[in-house]
Amino acid sequence: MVLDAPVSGDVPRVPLQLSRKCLVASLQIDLTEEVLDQFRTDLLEALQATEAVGVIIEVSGLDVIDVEEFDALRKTMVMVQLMGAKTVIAGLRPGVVSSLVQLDAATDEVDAAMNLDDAFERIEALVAGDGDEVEE
Amino acid sequence: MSTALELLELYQLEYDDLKRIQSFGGGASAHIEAVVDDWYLWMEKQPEYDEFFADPMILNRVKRMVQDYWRDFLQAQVDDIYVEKRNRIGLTHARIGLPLAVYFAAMNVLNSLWLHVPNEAEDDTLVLMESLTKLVNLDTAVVVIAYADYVNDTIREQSTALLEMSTPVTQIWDGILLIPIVGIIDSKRSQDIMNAALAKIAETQARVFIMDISGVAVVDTAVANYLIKITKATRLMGCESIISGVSPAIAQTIVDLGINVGTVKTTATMRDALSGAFKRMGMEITYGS
Repeated sequence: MVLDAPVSGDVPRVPLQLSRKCLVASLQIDLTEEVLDQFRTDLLEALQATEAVGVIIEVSGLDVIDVEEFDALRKTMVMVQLMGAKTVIAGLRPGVVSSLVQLDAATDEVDAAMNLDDAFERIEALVAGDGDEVEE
Repeated sequence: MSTALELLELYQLEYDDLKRIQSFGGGASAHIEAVVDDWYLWMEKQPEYDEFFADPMILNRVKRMVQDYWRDFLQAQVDDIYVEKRNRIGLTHARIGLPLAVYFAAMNVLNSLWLHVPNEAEDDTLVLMESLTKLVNLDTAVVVIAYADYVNDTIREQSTALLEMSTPVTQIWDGILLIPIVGIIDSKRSQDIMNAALAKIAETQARVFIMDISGVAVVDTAVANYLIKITKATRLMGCESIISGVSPAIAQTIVDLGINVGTVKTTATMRDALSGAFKRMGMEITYGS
């Protein structure tokens, strides 16, 4: 099910999909401040509307993510957690990871997965663990 | 490599220069053998002579090549084939490891030997020498550039090999990567390790990355921070890091320095790390009955 198909407007929107009770956001456009603001609003509203248990932010389409963009994504993920859902970022590229870590981006609360399959598994494990850090 | 035309312009060799060398060469080429033989009398006195010309077969072949070289030189047909021949000479010298100093000295001696060859053409000797020197310089430049390129390529290959040796990230099981780190970790090396690890994780879809630091010489605040950074990076790829080989000394240093390793998993032995990795992958080792 595709929610909130991009409408023609000033700000390009990130498509959100509901799959296996998870909202999947696939980021493939340049992350300007407006795009990130719009994305956050869309995502949180969709989360409330669909009562999804998890949110997967899929970024394998992005070759570059700078520290500010990553921080905006991280804050969005914290907001999702505050609304009671689990959230995982998936598909970060080696080059992106390398530069983020070199630039000391805050990554501590971020749960990451290699690809969508792993992300779904991770969310299921987190839901099963009911919020506690899943051991092994 | 530059083309013949570019080189001619660079070394200010005019048509007249080449013409002058050619007309001198008409008479002088009869003396090539004598000049080359004279040159070898000089060469014999050099310490490198025994190393490179001990074998008479090699000596004869090289002598013939030197004669061909000067025959080409005196014909002064400076085209791309001519340049390519000089280029190959440079590569050969670099490959056999003939020092450039010897090459320069040899060219210098040869250059002055031509002075004693009777100049049958009517040209002024001074002007002729100028032309000869220009062409000798052009030749020397091509040879030296080829030599330097060869040496630089070798160095580049070696440092690539060294880099790969210093970051031996290996897949030891499905989804499990291992790197034994030996020696000193500095910021450059930690970055190399991180990049190698991330590339390998993306390639093999690994879930666990074991860093064995039992061979690391010194663990101080900087090194610990590098290691923590690497674990953060692999975690962003969805791959958990385990640091194994934490010796009593290292454990003590980490606590004494007040380094917060956070949630990084550490084990004393590689065996513990491996068994943790298997557990993480949902695998279990059973012993046959």
